[in-house]
Amino acid sequence: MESNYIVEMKGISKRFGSVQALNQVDLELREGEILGLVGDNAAGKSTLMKILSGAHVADSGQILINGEEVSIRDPRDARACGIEMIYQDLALCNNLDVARNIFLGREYTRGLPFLSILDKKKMYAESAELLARLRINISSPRLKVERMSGGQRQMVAAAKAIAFDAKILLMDEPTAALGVREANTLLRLIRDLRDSGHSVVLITQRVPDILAIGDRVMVLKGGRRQGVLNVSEVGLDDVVELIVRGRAGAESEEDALEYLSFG
Amino acid sequence: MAENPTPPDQSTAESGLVEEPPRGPAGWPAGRWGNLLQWLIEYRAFVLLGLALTYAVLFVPFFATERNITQMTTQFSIDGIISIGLTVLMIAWGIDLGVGATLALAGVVFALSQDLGVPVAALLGILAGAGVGLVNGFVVTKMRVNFFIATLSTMVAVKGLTFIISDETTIYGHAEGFGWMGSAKLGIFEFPALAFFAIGIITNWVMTQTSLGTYWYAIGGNSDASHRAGLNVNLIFALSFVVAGLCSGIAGVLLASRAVSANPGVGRDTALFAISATVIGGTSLFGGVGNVLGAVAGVMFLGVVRNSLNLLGVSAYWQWVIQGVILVSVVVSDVYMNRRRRTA
Repeated sequence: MESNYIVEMKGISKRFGSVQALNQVDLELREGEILGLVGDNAAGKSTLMKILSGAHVADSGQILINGEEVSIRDPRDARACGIEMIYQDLALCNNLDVARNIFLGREYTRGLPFLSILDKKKMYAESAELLARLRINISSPRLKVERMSGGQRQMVAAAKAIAFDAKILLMDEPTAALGVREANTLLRLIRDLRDSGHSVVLITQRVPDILAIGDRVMVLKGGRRQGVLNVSEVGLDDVVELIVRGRAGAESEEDALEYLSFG
Repeated sequence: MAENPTPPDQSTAESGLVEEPPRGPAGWPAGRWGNLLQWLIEYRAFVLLGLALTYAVLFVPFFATERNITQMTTQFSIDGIISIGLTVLMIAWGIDLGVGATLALAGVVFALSQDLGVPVAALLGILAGAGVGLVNGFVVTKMRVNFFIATLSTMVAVKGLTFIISDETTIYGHAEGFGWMGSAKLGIFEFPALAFFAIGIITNWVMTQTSLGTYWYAIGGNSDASHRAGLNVNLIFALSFVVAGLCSGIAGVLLASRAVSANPGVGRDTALFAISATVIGGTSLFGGVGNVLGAVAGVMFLGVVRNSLNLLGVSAYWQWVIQGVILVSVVVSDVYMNRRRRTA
């Protein structure tokens, strides 16, 4: 058994009613790499990640973490394996400040067991330290999330995930709603996370993003894996070709052109 | 990582990854004016209270007399305690329309059990209020009934129950010390006013300094995110209904003690006053936003206005009109602010 993979998913299948969302899909994630997960809408990217994060349970297939088979049946199981999904719709409370969001449900407290008093000093200090370590440009951990930009919110969501020992980060279209500058800042953060030893699966529609910061890119189409490419060896055209045509190559040239103009 | 200029940083230059200056959300005026505006909105009740107090002291005859201050503070404090409970509930994105009915029930339970001794009876009255809150919390979180419908239904049921157990009559206090809580005095403040300020301070401390307070803000702000963070959203939400019920219970007991009798029909205008004061105090009808000290100021503002109108001899009907106009304008501004927040 290969042990240099931190995550292996083998033969994952998932059916929603009459729709076969995933059909015998494999995925391998190495330690300390950014794996891009690309494909058209309904290719099964989000479903595959939701299975890994415990939001869905696969109909069949295995999940191995560091070579050992694990059972992930809900988000808590996934968290115990060090897997954290950063959702597209942002799992932050906009009315709370940065530190309270990062520590939500895991606050430092002291005193009474039934009415635990927040250790705010410690929470603010550690949040500030975390933001600095991740080079996240937010003036204070006391800033409320509602006063922050979309990119800053994504970065707080990422900080929240890794604050508690998540080793494997799953990000679903984190740059989708961001402007170019903000998207670039976020991509830099993702790369920093990789460089500090985290493993990242990045679902994205923007192939150029993954070519800029990713190590490998996996293509899904119609719930099947079409292939895995090394980013250093391929160009945009190769990836798009695989997304649009799949292995067999069935669809028209226009589709490919349309996709290219998106990127 | 910053002091490690290896390939990643080179590619930063190549792919144009640049630092992005922080900016405020769309819709807010930038910088100092934006902060001032937000501060004014958050603490609007204090500004309004200051204006109303200034006017009343200068222009309303008999307002600044010891007797009037004592009476006025006691009067607004009983409804004010309910406002504090509603603040917690509304921050968690709920509401209780039946606080007036709960107030009446608690008073009747208190009066009916007075032969057990006033302390025990008071406790039973307060527990009756908390019990109504528990039922509301259960119906809303476990049976998944919308909180407007749920609290409206329990309000009707509680009203019926109150008339049944009181046999439709006012129950007079005869036990030793029945009226003590309503009339004991320290300086110019009577016990209800002291209780109001104390409950305000304690609740404010809970909301700002404890994890439970943070959880109430969290579920009101984004219950999905709170659930994902591992919070027991249903339990936390249900607890906020219990707090509102508890406060209504305390208010009911204080009201009965003050009147030295429990009238099953009291509390018809309570919800209107309490919700108005809470919203004036900066609590949003849309959850997640609000603060207890603001609610305290909101209560005092409405109390000063009501008292001044009485002293000026304005008829009760005009007072209703004025109170309705105040509530509508506050709700409209809340809806407007909420739209701004969501689009930000």
